[in-house]
Amino acid sequence: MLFTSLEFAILVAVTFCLFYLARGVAVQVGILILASIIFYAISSPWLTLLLLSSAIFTSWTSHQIWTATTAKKKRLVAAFGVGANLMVLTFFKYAGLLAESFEKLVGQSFSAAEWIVMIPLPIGISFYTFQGISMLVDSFRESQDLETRVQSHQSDASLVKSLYHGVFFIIFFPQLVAGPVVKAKDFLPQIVVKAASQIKWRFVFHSLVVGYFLKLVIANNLQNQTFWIEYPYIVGMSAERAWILLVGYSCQIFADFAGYSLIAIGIAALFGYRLPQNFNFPYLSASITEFWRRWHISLSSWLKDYLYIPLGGNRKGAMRTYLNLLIVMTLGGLWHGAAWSYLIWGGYHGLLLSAERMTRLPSPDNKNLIGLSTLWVRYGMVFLLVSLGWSFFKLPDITHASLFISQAFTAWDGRIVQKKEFIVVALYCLPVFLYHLNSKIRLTRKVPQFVPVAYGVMIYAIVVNSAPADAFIYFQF
Amino acid sequence: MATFLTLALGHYCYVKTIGKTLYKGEDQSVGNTIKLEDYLYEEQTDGKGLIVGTSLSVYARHPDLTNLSFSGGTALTVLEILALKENLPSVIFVETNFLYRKADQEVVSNFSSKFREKIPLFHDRYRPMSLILGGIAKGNSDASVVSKVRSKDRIDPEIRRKKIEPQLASAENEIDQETLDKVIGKLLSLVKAIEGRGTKLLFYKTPFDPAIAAQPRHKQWEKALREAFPSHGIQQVVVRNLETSDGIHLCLDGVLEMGKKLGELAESAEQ
Repeated sequence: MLFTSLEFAILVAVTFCLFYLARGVAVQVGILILASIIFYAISSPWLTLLLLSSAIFTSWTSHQIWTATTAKKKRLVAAFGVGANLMVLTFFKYAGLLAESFEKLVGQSFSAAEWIVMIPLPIGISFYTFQGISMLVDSFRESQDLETRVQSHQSDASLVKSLYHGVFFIIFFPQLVAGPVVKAKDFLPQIVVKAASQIKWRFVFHSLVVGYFLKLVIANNLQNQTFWIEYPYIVGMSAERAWILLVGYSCQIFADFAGYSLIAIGIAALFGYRLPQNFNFPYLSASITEFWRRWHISLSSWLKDYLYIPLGGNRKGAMRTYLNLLIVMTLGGLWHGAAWSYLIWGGYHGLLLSAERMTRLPSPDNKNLIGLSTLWVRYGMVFLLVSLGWSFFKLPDITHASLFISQAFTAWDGRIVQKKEFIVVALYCLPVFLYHLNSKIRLTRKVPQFVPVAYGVMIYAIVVNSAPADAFIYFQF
Repeated sequence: MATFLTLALGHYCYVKTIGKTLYKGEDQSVGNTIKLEDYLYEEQTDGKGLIVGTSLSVYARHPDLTNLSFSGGTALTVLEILALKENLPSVIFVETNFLYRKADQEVVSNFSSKFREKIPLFHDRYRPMSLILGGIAKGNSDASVVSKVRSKDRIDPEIRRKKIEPQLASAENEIDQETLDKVIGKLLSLVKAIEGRGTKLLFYKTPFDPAIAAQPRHKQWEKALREAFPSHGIQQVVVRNLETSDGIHLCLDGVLEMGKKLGELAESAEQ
């Protein structure tokens, strides 16, 4: 079910009424679990069984970690749970890719491989398995530490309560299919009775308006332009056009995903739950490191907590740090999609991060004109490098992505033939840049009267200038 | 709220005065919708025949024909919308090359809404972006469009070859029987509904590169269509310049000639 559909609006309205009429946390959680099942089952009825099985299994395993009597047993159960989650993810998401690659490698086709390729990809599997893993690892870490063990939400929970809350944490519908990736330790303590009087209406309103504006007005309209970044249209494309469309795609993917995240955050807040911030003006980053602190923050933070630090982080020398960065980013890239191009995209960012660490570029001093100019040049450089990387996102076939990139660097025509396209892309990208710029100049803080005007304009644009709803880009992950 | 109402009022006033005819579609999809809005909402009753096709026919022109071809879309969408309309011209040309593609139901439902029709601010032609582009493009001559299309025709033979490859690949498999039956069934009912009002439907196809025309999907589709509509037949419009820019789109000279030929056919069909 899409956030932009009428069915979703009805589901939220009905759930909202029932949720606040209900008394007691158990009933409220039950209503949200039911709403989440409906939300998922409408588009994938059969795969809902997989989702529920995965959520129940993970919650049960998490409970077993808490009740295990020795550290060794805890470690064993946790490893079993994490391994099972990874196996499910690998089977449903990557088996097709591996089978296809194997066939290509040996130059022969197998009936088993054809069957594997036909396995459907459950929506949001990358998100809910990662959340499951976070619950297992958090349970393991917290149950070992006496202090956190006493404070923890799960320490004295019965099996039924653990299952109930665990399933709710994994399938809570606003963040179920495309994040933000929530950590168990941040979410579970929030499961208490909620009252309508506690709703932060201003926050909900602002999140939803900006979210829907970014998705319906910016991302969907830009999609109608950037759809030309597709084979065979890229054949013979001029470099000027390639760059215009690439910048358009950078703004589209930001508007699409940041828009989705804001809607998810707004809807969750409507039910009294706080989801983590996922974007913090990423296109105003002076380095790739900073970019990853601002883009898809919940995933970056997950990768840092559950992969980079356990690998040794930056504590084992320079070479090991570069290697860890490369591993984390490459796996993070592959997490996005079952295609080798995502792996290359992740590796590209891993290399950029390593190169940045090697050169140890100082932060520019933005108190004088030279420093300020350097800062903006670096914003531009990071934006261009990141945009270039999106080619592998938009074109999952590596040969197509390579062709597009080579066009972008070699096919200079000396003129912008498609003037209309240039104007349209520029006009739709403008709000994205203004949105970022506002975080620097803080116009909405300095002139608070501007805020209602900005929201009025956004709502008006949603009403009269939206493009037809399309699935969010991150739904495929 | 005040901002919202002010914008709505300003927008409405602009649409009713300067912006009434000053608009331009920002992309294929909006451009397609604007074509239909112009035709359906302006109550054009000049009796001109219609061309209903895809991007293959989009530049076919003739003074006696209104072209409602959908770039990047399918003729079936327009046929479904026309089937809901009371006043239809005497002749409608239907391009058959990709007629098996599914109709865009969102567009169909938009055009069946009276509410949308009555409120101009909800028309795609009066979207703020359409009005901005219309203002910028003011005074742009038809020649600039022709020159842009011609530039697409002048491409390197190697690039043309590369563009043909995916067209070959996409037509190498036949359409599955269930989809084929559904589309034919839908077409039969639409043709019956439209012709029941005295309008003559004429099927035509535009020439493909011979290698693409020989692909299983295209041959299967033509055969199925001929069997379903034995009395209609499918006109192969004969043009001198059969060169295409990508294997399926005739170069501009060919399309312009095709427009003339369709106009001549319309005259003879009316007689």
